[in-house]
Amino acid sequence: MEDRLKNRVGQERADFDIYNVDADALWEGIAGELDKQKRLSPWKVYTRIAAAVVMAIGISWIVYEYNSNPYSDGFALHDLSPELAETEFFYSQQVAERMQLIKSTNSAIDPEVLDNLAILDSAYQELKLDLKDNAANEEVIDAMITNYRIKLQLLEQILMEIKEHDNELGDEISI
Amino acid sequence: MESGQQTIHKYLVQRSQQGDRQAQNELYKLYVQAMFNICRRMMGDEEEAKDVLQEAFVTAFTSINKLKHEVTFSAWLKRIVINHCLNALKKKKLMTEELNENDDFKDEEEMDSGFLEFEAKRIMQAIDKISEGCRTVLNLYLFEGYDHKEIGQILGVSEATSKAQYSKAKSKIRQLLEHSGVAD
Repeated sequence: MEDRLKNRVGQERADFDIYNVDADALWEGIAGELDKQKRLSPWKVYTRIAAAVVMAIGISWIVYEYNSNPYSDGFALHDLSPELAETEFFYSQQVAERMQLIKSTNSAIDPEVLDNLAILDSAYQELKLDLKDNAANEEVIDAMITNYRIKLQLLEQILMEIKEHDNELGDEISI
Repeated sequence: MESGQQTIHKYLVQRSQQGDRQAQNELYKLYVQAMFNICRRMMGDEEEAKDVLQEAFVTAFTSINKLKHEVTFSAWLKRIVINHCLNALKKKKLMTEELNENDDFKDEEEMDSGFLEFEAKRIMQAIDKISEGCRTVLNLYLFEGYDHKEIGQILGVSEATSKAQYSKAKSKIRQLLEHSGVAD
């Protein structure tokens, strides 16, 4: 069965495009939305930061692996000296505190960020093994402290982001 | 498309992928009227069409990096626009309800003269007046080049339902046109 209407639309396609829109006015709305979206999406940024950090830690860990023979147990900083024990205590407290804070906000944290934090943790465990091997090796100790600092920074950024995000949401709701 | 135009087109897509707002605007200007016609036909309302079109372009430019072959930009954009229209229509639920009703519409093919006695503009006005379900089927079939099998898949109905809705749409349009007076 021939569909004459379909044939006609096919042949006179342009005639059927009868509508016009104010393209410039509509573009303003689109450009505005695009700008807004550009500003948001913070998790992407933090995932990238975290990935870069993890890579740096990973590389330094590989370097240590080459220079050492791993033992079954590791040394913690507090095994070395009272000063280092204090440092370790300070950092682990800070980290724990922030972790608690983040958990209490119930924010949806990108699983990739959590994965990266876990990788930082396992890198730390490896460093502990290196510490046993190279007892009191300055570089290993520095790497362990750096590991703590990076983790703290990461958590700090996550907290800041949650706070900003909450403020934005708050603004929207209060209007 | 001429090869010169094609090069410019490719260039605009690449620049847009890098977030160049000027290039995005150029690309937008090339397609906005055609895409607006799709939205306006599908939504049957000017303001709703504008809203949907804005959303569709925002989606397109934020996900333009996912577009691998620059030449298919127009087809890719069109699919985004149609999807946005369908989602907006589904939200209103009228369309889905209507399509799920099982009415046996009898085909009146002998009436189909291609509506030759009517201007395109008047046919479009009549399309605006028919119900959302059969209008959607008609738009997808008549203007967007989908066949009834594909329309069935898109709308979650059978191929037969799509065919029946299309015939129903045509018949209603004919009634409306004949009712509104003598052809111009």
